[in-house]
Parts: sequence; structure tokens; C-alpha cells
Amino acid sequence: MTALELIDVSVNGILENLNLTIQKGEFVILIGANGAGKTTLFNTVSGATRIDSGKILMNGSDITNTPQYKRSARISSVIQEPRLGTIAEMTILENLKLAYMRNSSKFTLRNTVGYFKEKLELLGIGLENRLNEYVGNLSGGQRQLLSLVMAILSDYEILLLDEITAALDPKASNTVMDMSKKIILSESKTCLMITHDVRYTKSFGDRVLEMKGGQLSF
Amino acid sequence: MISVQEILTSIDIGLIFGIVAVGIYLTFRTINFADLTCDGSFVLGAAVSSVLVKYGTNPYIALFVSLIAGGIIGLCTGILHVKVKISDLLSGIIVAFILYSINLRIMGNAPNITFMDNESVFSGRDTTLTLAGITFFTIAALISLLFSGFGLKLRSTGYNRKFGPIIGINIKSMIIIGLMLSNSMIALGGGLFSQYQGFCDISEGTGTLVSGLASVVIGEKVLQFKKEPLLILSCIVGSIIYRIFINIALNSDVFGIKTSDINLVTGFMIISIIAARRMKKNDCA
Repeated sequence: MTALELIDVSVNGILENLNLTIQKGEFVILIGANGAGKTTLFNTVSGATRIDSGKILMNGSDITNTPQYKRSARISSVIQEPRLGTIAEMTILENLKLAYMRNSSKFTLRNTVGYFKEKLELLGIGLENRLNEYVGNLSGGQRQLLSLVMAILSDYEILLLDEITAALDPKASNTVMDMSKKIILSESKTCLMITHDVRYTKSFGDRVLEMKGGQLSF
Repeated sequence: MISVQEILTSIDIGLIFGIVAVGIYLTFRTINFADLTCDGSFVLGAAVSSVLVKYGTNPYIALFVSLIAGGIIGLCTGILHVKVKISDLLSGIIVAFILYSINLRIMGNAPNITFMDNESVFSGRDTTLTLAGITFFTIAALISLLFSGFGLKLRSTGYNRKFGPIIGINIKSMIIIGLMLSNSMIALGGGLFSQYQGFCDISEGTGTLVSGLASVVIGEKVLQFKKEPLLILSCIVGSIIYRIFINIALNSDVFGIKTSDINLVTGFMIISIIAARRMKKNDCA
């Protein structure tokens, strides 16, 4: 069954009549050099960028004109820059609450701390014991891992990861990638991971796609 | 030397303008929107409250209508910014400009209204206690709102606008709601001020923004709360300190300061506090 389908999508001259199909439960890795159009594709799917022409279907339904904040209930994403993917001035708990409310029409936040701790324990870096600490005190790698947990807190259908190690040092990158793999495999949901680091393509994903000049090569 | 009565008057005015400062805090800090509607929405609240009280409406209902009127004006500024894509500064300036005519219309095309003989929320009650009560309930409601899930979403809007849509927050709606809440508070302050004085003047909103900002800055400096909803409290305390300081400065005959120098004193106070904060940061760097 098809989870995501891009049909003849063109965006700002960066993507031209691009077609992409991802099956339900598939873990797809998208690689490509800087400027190839990977992040534009990420923004197109997440809804951050409006397309000029074409169609985006999710489970067969047209989401082309659905704004990003509405898409986020079904498409969960982690962006490149950890500083923009979390709120430094708020505590870890507040960030998690915000993410948890993503696809909830209610603002009820009772009895969620236990659930948050359970998810943070997956990371194994002790964030579950620092819930009331400000996110600004965390390192870039810790913030990116927190973003990852925030992305999987509530029900979603597709997980998008955009170069989640781009702003990290090599050691932190390896930790974040290992944790990402662990979490993605445990979640068994549809995932599109964008990276320029070909090292990870060997041990990750069901399918690897390459992007060149705004086009995909399979 | 300043008398006890003058200190009590400063506290009264500090409480009223504390609510106004909270409104200014909501836009400038919470949703990070430089809203200049406030000088107009303050007079709007005052004009609505004055006219209603003058024609015999219950003074509490008059205050409630002022609050709603402020919310509607906040909605207008928000729509101009979000839907018509006018910058935050300009949308506030345009609405404040339009409000001058609207306020005059509300006041029956008269530049001022006097209603000292009519019943107000202060009639037969201790003024300071009444103001403290109204301020307490307003601030308690606002703090509980900001501590809720909705408040969390509203607060996140000011910190990181790129992050909001990723986690399902409609930033545009949050900006509009923030402006409505802010201008409601400012109009409520205007309504209270007119009932406190027993009159309303079309030009009494001049300087609302600067005095409100002064209160916010003083409150932040004195109380140094880190938890954002609690910073609302510091606006009230900052406003009272500001009014007492202004009263002392204008009554002390030091440097020959006169009542007409209030803007000069306020301006220097804000500059001093901000400069002290910047210098402290530079020392640490």
C-alpha cells in the first residue's frame, strides 16, 4: 500500500516534475550532494514549501494544499538544525508537552510524564531525569535526540528526517544516527531519511535513492 | 518628601497600569510582536467604559465591554498582519491611527467625558483594595491560561516561529489570539483608569506603550523570575515601582524636575536599566 506519492511535483525551479512513491512501512534513504534539492523535497513533503505544480498524495488522499501545521499530525519531522527543532527557553518537559499535543485537539496534559520518561529512556542518556531543565542547557547532539523523541511522541504515519547530523560533530553524529536507527526500527513506520553522508546507507533503510539536480535516480 | 497618600495613589495607578503592562508584555515578549496599537486601545477601553457608565450601565459590565472591545481591536491588528501581510509595526500604527477617529465617535465627538457623579467600581469601596482584587483575578486567570496546554503553544510562538508548524501549531492563529488577549488587557486598564479618574480624555493614551515597557523592564530586573507565566507578576510589581519612582522624582524638587518632565524621566529610566543590563552582560563575556 502506498504511504506517500509525489506526482510531477515542481518547486521554485529546484524540483522539476519529480515523481516519488514510498510504500507503507518502508524506510527510504535519500542521498545527494549539497544543493541537489534534498531539503526542498523535505520541505515539500512536510508542507513548509508550497509547490508550483503537481500533486502530493498520502494514503491516496490529496494533501497538496494542506498547510504544514495540519500535515504535522500525520507527518512527523526532525529538521537539520537542533536549535530550530526545539525551544531553548522552555524546559525538556514543556518541549515534550508541545510535541505531544501535536495531533490532539484537546489541551489535556495530565498523566503524560510517565509516558515521556518511557520514551526518553530509549535514548539512554539520562534526559528522563532532567525534565525540568531548560533545553538551552543541552548539547547539540542531546537536543537533536530530544527532537527525535518529540517526533515520535504522538501518533504519526510518516517520519521525515532531514540531515539530522549536519550540525553535529562526528561523535555526536554517530550517537544520533545509532539512536535514530534503533528508534525507527522499533517504530516500524514509514520513514524518509535525508542525508549527504553515504556511510549510513549500508546499514540503514530498505531503499536508497539519490538526488541530482532536482531529480531522483533509483 | 512624598506622603503616604501619594504612595497609595502611586500603588493604585501602578495596579491599573500593571494590567496594561501585562498586555504589552503579552505582545512584546510572549508572542514577540511589536504592537503599537496599545496607545489607541487604552483610550478605546477608557472611552467605552466612560460612555457606558455615564449612561447608567453597571460599571463591571462596562469594564467587560471595554475588555471585549480591546479584543476586537487586537483581532483587527492581527488580521492586518496575518491576512493582509502588513508588517507588525505598521499594522499596529494603522489601527491606532484609525482608533483616534473611532474613539472620538464613541465619545460623541467630544475630546473628553466627565462622569464623576456616576457609580463606578470604586463607589463605596476602598480604591486600593478594589484595584488589588480586580488585578488579582485578572492576573490569576491569565497565568492559569499561560500555564495550560494552550498557553504553552502561545508562548512557543514568540520563541521559535519555525518550530511551531512542525509540531502542529497554527502560528497565524496564535499571533491573532495573542494580540486579542493583549489589547483586551490594555483596554481593561483604560476602562479602569477612566472609572478611577471619573473622566476620559481622547489623548490619555499617549505614552501608554513606553510606560508599559518601563514597567515590564523594571519588573524583570527586580524580580528576575525565569518561569515565563510568573513574569506576568513582575509586570505588576514593575508598574507599581515605576509609578512610585516617578512620583518621588516629580515631588522631590531634585534637579528642578517638573511634572512636564515625566517623559524625560521615564525615557532615562528605561535607558539606564537596559544599559545596566547590557553592561553586565558584556562584563560576563
